[in-house]
Amino acid sequence: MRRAALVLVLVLAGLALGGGPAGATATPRGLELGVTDPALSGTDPALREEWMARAASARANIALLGVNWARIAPAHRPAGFDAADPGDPAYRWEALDGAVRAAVARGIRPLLSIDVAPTWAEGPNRPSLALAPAGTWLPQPAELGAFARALAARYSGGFVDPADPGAGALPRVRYFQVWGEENLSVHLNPLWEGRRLVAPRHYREMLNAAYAGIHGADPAARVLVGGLSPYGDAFAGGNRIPPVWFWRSLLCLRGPKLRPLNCPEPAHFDVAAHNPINVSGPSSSALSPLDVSTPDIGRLTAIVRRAVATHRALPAGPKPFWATEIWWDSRPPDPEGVPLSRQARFLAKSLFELWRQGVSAVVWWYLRDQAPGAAGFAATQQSGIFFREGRPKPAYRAFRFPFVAVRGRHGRLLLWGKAPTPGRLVVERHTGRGWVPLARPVAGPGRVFVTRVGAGGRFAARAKQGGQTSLAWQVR
Amino acid sequence: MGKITTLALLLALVLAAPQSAVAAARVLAPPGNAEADQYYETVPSPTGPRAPDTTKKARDAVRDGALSEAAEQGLRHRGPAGLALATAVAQTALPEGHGALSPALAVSAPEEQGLGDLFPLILVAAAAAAVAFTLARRRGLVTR
Repeated sequence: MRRAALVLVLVLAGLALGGGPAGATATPRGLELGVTDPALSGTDPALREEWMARAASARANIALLGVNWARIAPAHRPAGFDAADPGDPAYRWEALDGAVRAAVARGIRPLLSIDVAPTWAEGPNRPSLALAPAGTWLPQPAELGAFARALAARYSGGFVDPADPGAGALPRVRYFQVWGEENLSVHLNPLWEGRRLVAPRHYREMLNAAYAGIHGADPAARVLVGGLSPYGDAFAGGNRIPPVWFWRSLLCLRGPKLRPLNCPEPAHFDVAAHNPINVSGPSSSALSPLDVSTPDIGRLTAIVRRAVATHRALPAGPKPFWATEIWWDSRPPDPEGVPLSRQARFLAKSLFELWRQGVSAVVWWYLRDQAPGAAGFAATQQSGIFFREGRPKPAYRAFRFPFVAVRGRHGRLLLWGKAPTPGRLVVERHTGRGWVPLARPVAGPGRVFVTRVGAGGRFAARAKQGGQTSLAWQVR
Repeated sequence: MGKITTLALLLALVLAAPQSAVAAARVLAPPGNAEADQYYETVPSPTGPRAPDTTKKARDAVRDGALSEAAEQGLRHRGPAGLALATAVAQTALPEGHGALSPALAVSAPEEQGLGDLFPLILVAAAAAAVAFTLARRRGLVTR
């Protein structure tokens, strides 16, 4: 019986990867593509509109909008302030309202990512700002829960738009992320008390309070765990907790065998998230088994699955996995970045690597190159799919119509991509006679296509649908 | 005596191997983001994980000859990741006139980790036991 089940799983996995005959297609899972950028959630309405339009032209499905709690909430808690009331006059929602309106108007779904506690919502015994940056010291779960409730209520689809009451309600937002990279001391403190890991437990309280607040305002909303930074310091007292340690502790599991620990208040979330940034290329695993880079998502899905099975991740049921930050800086403009063509190739390949591991949404940081800071390019990001002035890079085409061709173990070629629309497309190879058809896969409802073909040798391949063409992929 | 010599040589080789590997420990940052010190990857070493020590003492150790001044300056200009690499090199260099690992390599981690300083001790104990057993057999204290 067990063997039969194993065979069935293998057959299904093969079908999911398009393991049928040449040109045959299954219906592959979709992949949502998102972008983020300070311009999208900034205070300049013209800049916001301009760059949201570029996000739409890149076919982004999701816009990750930073929700700086400390900027929206009052600097000092006024008398009579109701933190759970989205209409409390002390809140300053204007910029976020504008960003949400701009995204939804273009068919882009906002993902609101909460970070940075106001001073009055931090915990006691705060050390200096040099030791714990503003907004990172023990954000109080009850205060966060109240703010999260206000946020979800404001964007529940039933809150009248204060800027234009006649136009009806503010748009509805479905996705909320609770903090980000909370395994780093630049985002959450303290991480350790002596040799004891304390941040995951405190974060669990924050997450559960935010979950209750968000679901209290909109039961259909989806709460994402804050995506963790991929690399950590595997010693007590470090400034970066390795993500595998953080996830195990968050979900009350111990050691590599994931033994369940007593867990009176299990973590509540709907979507698991991670930031699989990579110091090398998208196929390079993190060297430490405690770190999680682009091809290592399985190190986390195993933990989450075990937690769900042992009721240490609630509510019960499978947890989708999202990659909420990935990027590579390009040269130009950053002299230390990767060449433009490689940035585009890394982008497409990372989307494939993550999709292959079951990830259902990927957010690219950023849409637009940042200006070099006082310390030069090394301190800011030039990972945009657009140059700063708005000119698209090759990565823009790779994001808009991603396509990769990967040689398998037996020489067969796996063709994968995300087409502009569902339906049939053609994959071509370049020969002495020009471009000739190689396969005719069908993109599923999620626009993803995958198929395998037999094709030896080195050549360039590309995907075409209608009048739109992907970047060419060099097959080796 | 030949067996004891062979054992001693093997022991010396095994003890030397982790140190040379440690000396090669390094950190990697995403291309173009050397200053983004939260995203660097520390290459694991055979002695387990450890902190890139950026204290004054560690910086002084860098100046004590583990790196040339030019190499050190070059690394410092690479930002925190470069400094971490410079200090890692300083920490993992053998102290002059000493054959033991630097105390800076002490390991502290809450869960699974390398054997740390325990590793050479176990090797020494195992080798000593083997030598003692061989000697005992030669003197007829141990029979089959």
